[in-house]
Amino acid sequence: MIPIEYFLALSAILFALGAYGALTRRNTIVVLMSIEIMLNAANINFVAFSSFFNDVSGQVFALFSIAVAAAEVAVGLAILLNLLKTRETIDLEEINILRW
Amino acid sequence: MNRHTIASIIAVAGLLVIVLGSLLVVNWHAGDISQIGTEKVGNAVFDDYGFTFLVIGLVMFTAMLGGVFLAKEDEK
Repeated sequence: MIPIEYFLALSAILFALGAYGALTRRNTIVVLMSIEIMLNAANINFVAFSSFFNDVSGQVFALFSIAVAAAEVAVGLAILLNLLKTRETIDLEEINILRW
Repeated sequence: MNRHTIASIIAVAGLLVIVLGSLLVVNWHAGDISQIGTEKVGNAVFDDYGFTFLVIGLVMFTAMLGGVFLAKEDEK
């Protein structure tokens, strides 16, 4: 069987990739995808520890986390669509209406 | 490569080093990844987390309504 360290390392690498994408990319869709990668890294941790401790709660939480991520993406894409209609761009450098 | 990208790379590399280093340092007690059947997960969702399941459904419904409201075309 695969030791738990491998799953945690995979999760850490995925999280780092997502954080890098969210911090450096200027395209809003790519940033949303990076955030999803980070959420999935957390889900891998949930499922790995759930199996490691033989407790089903982690997998249930992973399911709920996936549902919340789906809701978040639905609202995020709708906001993006609205932004594209009003500002005609999805470049994060040009979207500054919430900056101070 | 601008300063922002370099700072991001340094931050992410630092995070990765800390997390992977702590993974190597910690002595995980012996135990294997075990198989948990989907039947147990389904029972837990409906028996132990029934109310949470309903709340998640409400959240998704609200998100769907919000998404449709935000994305709808303006009537002219």
